[in-house]
Amino acid sequence: MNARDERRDDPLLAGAWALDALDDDERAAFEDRLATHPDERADADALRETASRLAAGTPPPPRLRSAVLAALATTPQERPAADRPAPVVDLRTERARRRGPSRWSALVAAAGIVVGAVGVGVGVGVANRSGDTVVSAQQVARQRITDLLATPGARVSTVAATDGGTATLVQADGRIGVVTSGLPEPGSGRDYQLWLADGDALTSAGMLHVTSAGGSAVVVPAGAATGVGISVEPARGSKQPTTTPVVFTPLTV
Amino acid sequence: MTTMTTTTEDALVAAARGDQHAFASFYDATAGAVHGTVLRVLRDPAQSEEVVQEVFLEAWRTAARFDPARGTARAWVVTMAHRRAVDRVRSAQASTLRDEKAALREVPPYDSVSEEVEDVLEADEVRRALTSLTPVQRQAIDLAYYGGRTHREIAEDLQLPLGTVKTRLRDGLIRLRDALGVGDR
Repeated sequence: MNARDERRDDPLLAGAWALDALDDDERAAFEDRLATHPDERADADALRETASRLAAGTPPPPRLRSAVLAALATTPQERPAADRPAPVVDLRTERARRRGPSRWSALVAAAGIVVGAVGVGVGVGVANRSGDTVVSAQQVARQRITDLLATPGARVSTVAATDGGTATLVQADGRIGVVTSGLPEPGSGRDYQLWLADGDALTSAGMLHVTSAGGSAVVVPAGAATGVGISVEPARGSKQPTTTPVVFTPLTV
Repeated sequence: MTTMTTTTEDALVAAARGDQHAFASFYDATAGAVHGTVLRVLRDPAQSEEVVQEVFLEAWRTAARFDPARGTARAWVVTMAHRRAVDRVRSAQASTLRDEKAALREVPPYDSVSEEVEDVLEADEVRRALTSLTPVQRQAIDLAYYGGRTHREIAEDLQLPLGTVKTRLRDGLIRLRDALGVGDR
């Protein structure tokens, strides 16, 4: 293998880039190159356009359409560049990203929803119902979830809660990270409680301490759990759910 | 004239400003391509549905980043979908034991994948374009796009210098680009 073969910003990589045949570091290096070579960027974009035509159209089941459209109302959008403030960057995250070489950025991209939630929680500083300790505990949990995402084989799924809002689950390494967003106000003296299901048996996995924006983040051991549920309970918690769960979903193995 | 019809690009631009109806049109115009791409790479319907859902929510979230000057809305979202599907394949590979890895990496007979794909390709045009490739270009593109392999893995699998693989991927795509008339807008 000669030196030319190893150049990470080799213009010949345009084909591999367009086909997603680069690892994360190579992709970043090549995209840096494109940012400063507009002539090459136009060619590379045309190759990417070409690659996207290789896809064979196969309509997804109709239920997917309803699920996607239903989730829009509770999925926050990035603002257009013109009126977007300078991005708030979580320094630890940023360092981890720059440190490489890792699958980090791709996995984070793959879990865009969770990262969006991190942005809201850490960057903006959401008002909370239960004091600063809750928010900082949630910041720690969000960081742990971000770390979970970097675990090879991490699985991410997002479930719409029945009364609005979403729960995103990250499973990896015998742990489950849960991030909620947009859950409705549970009512005075009440909070959302997390449940792990093992067959028919439900075990409490603690209170979520949701913020006023319906956000929360926790990481719990997965144990033998086959499913996850979330229900509204008295703030001190219940031994078994006393209301119909707003989220109840089997875990994918 | 079809001046009353909004393009998929217009729909995505409107969706970036929070227009859910526009996003529904964008979904309708691209869901088949997105699902087809993900399914081709993952080959698992349940996982593919999950990824398609994630992709469209990401598209909704980041619609403001779409730049019509750089390509079509379809390519934008299909690119996102392909990346996610490939990331799943790669993280699944990374998590398997080393000795299992060898088996996973076994190269399928190179024509089988694209033959399967050809069965479902809607466009005769794409089928014709694929025939313009040399067999080795086609093998490299199959392994990369449908197999989710990196150019390094392809070089290892086929025991070729990295430079050769880079060139095959690029030259192959250039042929496809010309055969499909991409960029002749």
